Amino acid sequence: MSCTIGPPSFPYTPGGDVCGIVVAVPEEDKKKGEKCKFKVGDKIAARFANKPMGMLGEYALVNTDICDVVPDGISSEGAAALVSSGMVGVILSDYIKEGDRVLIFGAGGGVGSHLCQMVKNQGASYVAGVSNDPKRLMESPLNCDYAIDYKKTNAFTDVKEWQENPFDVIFDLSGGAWPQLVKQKKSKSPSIIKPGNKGGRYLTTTPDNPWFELHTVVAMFSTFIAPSLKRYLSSRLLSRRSMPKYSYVLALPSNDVVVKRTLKLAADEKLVPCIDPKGPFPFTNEGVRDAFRLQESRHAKGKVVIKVAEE
Amino acid sequence: MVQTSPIPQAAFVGGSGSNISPKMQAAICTSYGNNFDDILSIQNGIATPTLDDKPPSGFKNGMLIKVLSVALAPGDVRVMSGKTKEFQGKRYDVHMIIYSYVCIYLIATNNILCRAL
Repeated sequence: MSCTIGPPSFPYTPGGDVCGIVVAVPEEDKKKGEKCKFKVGDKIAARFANKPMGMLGEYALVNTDICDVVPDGISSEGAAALVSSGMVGVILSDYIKEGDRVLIFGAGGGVGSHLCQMVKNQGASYVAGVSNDPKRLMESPLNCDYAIDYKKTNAFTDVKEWQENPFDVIFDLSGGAWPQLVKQKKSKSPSIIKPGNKGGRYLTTTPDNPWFELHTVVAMFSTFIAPSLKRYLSSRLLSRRSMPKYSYVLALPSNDVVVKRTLKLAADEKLVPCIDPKGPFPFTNEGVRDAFRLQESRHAKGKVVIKVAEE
Repeated sequence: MVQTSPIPQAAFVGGSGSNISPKMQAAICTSYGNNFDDILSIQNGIATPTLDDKPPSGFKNGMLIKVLSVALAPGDVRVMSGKTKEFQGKRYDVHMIIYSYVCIYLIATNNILCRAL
């Protein structure tokens, strides 16, 4: 069992978001009189519980509270991608209002690829993306209205149209956009996002430095708590006329509501699972290592998926 | 009794009480780091999880699946790197747990307030 507990108890089996076939279900909970809602043979997708580990083997234990049956027509690779990043994209898209103009930093990654689709579904009038492959962002199924390569174009200063007609919402999935907005404000140059008092919202799922390290409580405080609280309060109280409302979004509910919703959206063809074209990676030494290398690079185009077994 | 399925593949050679092999193939990480060639490999003979296993912390209502596909996320690499081991590892001390819960509470409150305002 040490293989599924995880670090610092080594060795452990990594991998948290999974699709598989049910081979054993728990017996009826006699105290509650509840039977397991799944049956042997069901194809299910499950998000990790607590920590991302224990899934990258031929068999795995999943938490029945955070999974659901995969609808017909969705591949196992697609289901694994959906239950992970697709789900986060669905949650984030709930912050969108009809007619919003939306900019997504990190639009080409796992979450971004699904979020681009979802903000359109939610009625956004204009969706722009920032990544290292803007062409892909403007193709189906992402269908952004405009996209730039962050290595060639500065999103904050180089696109005149964005300054003339600022965004209602910025999703920062790559980290570091808020300090740039502050810099813009200080230089008194036109902002690419509306201020909070005019409906501007800034939502992020990562600290400014996505390669953060946390070894102490102080580091936890200075990386997550202090910046997010300070920005949250100041953007609503002190600088609501110049900065958008800041929110750090934790998008990992511990129930199956969003899992069901995400899989249903895919079954209804409103959300297409996006998998990096280098994958799915084979379940071999090289395959697994390559998959982790790609994930570590933070330059995946969609979700990094490892195919463990055929259906 | 636990309900189990017939296992069609050669890897499943039967085990006590069910026809699922007690051993399986799995990816194994042996230490913290990002040199994946050294720390990450596929190994045979790993104990197959069972419904009787003591589940990992925060994990309940376990169900056993035959894995088809696994999607990676930034958290997979971060946990493996050891850069957050004091918070995402196994050995916590008491004040670390308390502070972690306070942090989670504050961020959750932030989200709730955000929606309310």
